[in-house]
Formats: sequence, C-alpha cells, structure tokens
Amino acid sequence: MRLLAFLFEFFKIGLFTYGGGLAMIPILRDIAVNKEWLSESHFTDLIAISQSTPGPIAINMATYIGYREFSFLGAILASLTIIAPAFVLAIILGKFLSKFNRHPFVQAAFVGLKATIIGLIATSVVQVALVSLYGNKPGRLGRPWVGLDFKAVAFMLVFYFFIRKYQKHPLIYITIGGIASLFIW
Amino acid sequence: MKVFKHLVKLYIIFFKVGLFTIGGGYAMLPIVEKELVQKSKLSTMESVMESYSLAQTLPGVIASNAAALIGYKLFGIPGAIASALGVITPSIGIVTVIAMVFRKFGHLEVVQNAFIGIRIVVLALLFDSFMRLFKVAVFDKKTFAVSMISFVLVLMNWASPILILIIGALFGLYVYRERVGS
Repeated sequence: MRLLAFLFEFFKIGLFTYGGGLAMIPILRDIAVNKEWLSESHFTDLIAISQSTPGPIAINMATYIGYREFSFLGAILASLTIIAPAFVLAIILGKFLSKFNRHPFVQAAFVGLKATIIGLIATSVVQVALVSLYGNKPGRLGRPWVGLDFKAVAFMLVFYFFIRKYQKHPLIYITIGGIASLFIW
Repeated sequence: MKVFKHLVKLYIIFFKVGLFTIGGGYAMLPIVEKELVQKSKLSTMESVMESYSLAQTLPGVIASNAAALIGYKLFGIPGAIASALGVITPSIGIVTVIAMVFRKFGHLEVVQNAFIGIRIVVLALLFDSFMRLFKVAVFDKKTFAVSMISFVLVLMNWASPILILIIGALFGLYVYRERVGS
C-alpha cells in the first residue's frame, strides 16, 4: 500500500509536468521534501548527481529516490511509473499528436503553461540558493542576509560567469566545482 | 523472429542513447542520428526530428517520449516499449549504484566538502537555465504576471506546483485562445 501511494506521486509527476527535467525539479522537490524522502540539501545534491550521470534527469531522480525508499524494486518501479502516463498518451494520440499540437487552444494552453513553469523554476533557484549560499544553517526567506556566506556568493558569481561565457556541459562545471570546493572549504 | 531481432536492436540503440547522453535533452539527437539513421538505416533524420519535437509537447520525460514515438513509428507498441525501456535502463543501473555508494560514503567529510561547492554550481547552472528560459516564455505583461504569481504561491507553499500548472494552462487557454490562432 505504501509502495502504491509512493508510485502514485511519480505517476502524477509524469502526467502533469511539461517541459522535461528542468520543469520537473520544482515539482519533485515539493513532493520529496514535504514527504520527507529527502532533506532540502540532499535534494540539491541529487540535482547535481542527476545532471552528471548518464540518462534523463527525471529518470535519474526517480531511480535515486525509489532506491532510497524501496530499494531495487523502488528504483525500477519509480522510473517506469514516471514515464508511463506520457507513454500511454504517445500511443493513443500517436498520429493525431501533431494535429492536436497545432490546435490554437493547445497552443494557447502551452503559453500559460510555459509562463507557470518559469515561476516554478524560479522557486527552485531560491530554494537551492537557501541551502547553498549559507553555512551550516539554511538561509531564511524573510531575512536572506542572516548567515549569508560571502565566499559562497563569490564562488557562485565566478561559476555563473564561466557558465554563461562557455556554455559547456554541466558535468564539467560540477566536477571543477567539487574539486575547487575541497580547497576552499 | 525477425521482428524480435529488430526489437532487440532498437532496445540496444536506445540503451546507448541513454548511456551516452548525460543529463538528457538535445544531447541525445546526435547519437540517435548516428545509430538509427546512419548505421542501421531504420529511420530518417526528418522523422527523428519530428518525433523529438512531438516528444516535447507530451508531459513527462522528453527522452523516453521521443524513444517511444520513434519506436512506435517503426514497430508499433512493441517498438515503443523496447525503445522506452532501452533509454531508461542505463540510468536505473548507474544511479542505483550511485545511491548505494552515496548511502555508504555520503557522510564522509571529503564528500560533504565537495558537495558544498557542487551545490553552489547547481545554483549557478539553474540560474543560467532560468535566465535563458525566461526570455522565451515571458514576453508580455500577462505571462510575466503568471510567472510571478506562480512563483510566490509555490515559494510560500500556498499552493501545490501541480495545481498551479493546471491553472496556468487554463489561464493560457482563456487569454491566448484568439491571439495564437490568428
């Protein structure tokens, strides 16, 4: 029963998230942190792990959480469940899909959906900032200046500059960041 | 028997796609092109691109959607299953091992220290993605308002992200139904 309830969350994510891995992060974070599958900082570590291992980010996250909650069975079932809704839709809609997508109503809904996703991704940025830019205690929304680690802010700005400038694969920045971190902290 | 052979081939091709695209996304296209179009000549690049763009309009995981659509075109439902399973198999294997290792060694000081910096890099990467997507999705006052409202509601935990997504889609449908159509 607990496994079914667990999988239902992944089914919902697979059915309602639009825009791939990045859009899935805020939704998965909301569920994972509220259900206490992972802490806020552990979830941020999971984003890093998922971006630097092979395969789709969403599958990597589902596998990781599934394994932690229900071992091997959880890893496999969480991943299968997250792809199931769209898989069924792909088969049913199949040939109609491109026609369906061109429909003005669908196009209009996508405009609203995309704007909403931007807001959700912004929440991820804030949540990750609260765990990454502060020392041992996470930052608080109401008082963002309390406990802010200026070394971390500088580190962030340097990386952001290089990410914008070179647009290399995330794995490269994550690796360099991990090694540099050992010397700084 | 011949069909079964093709299904195994499809599974292997998408297994490679899953194995060699780190982080998913567009990175899968060159590998699909090499394996499915150039080497095995099962499909054309136009057909692959069409499936890929359709995959983005479905919910869920883009890579597995694309795999399923490509597989379905070639060998029906069995093809869709073989392709989708192929693309997720490497992830499941590799990340399970990482989760096991992380459980064992995650608390070590050296790992913890490395992750202090890695979390900050994740922030920089997310912010970069956010900035690029923002320019595409927010183009007038209404889309700006929608993104701001959903940001505040979800950040303050006043509404669940899924509920917000559904409302956002309905709002878009209502506001832009004529504009997009014309």
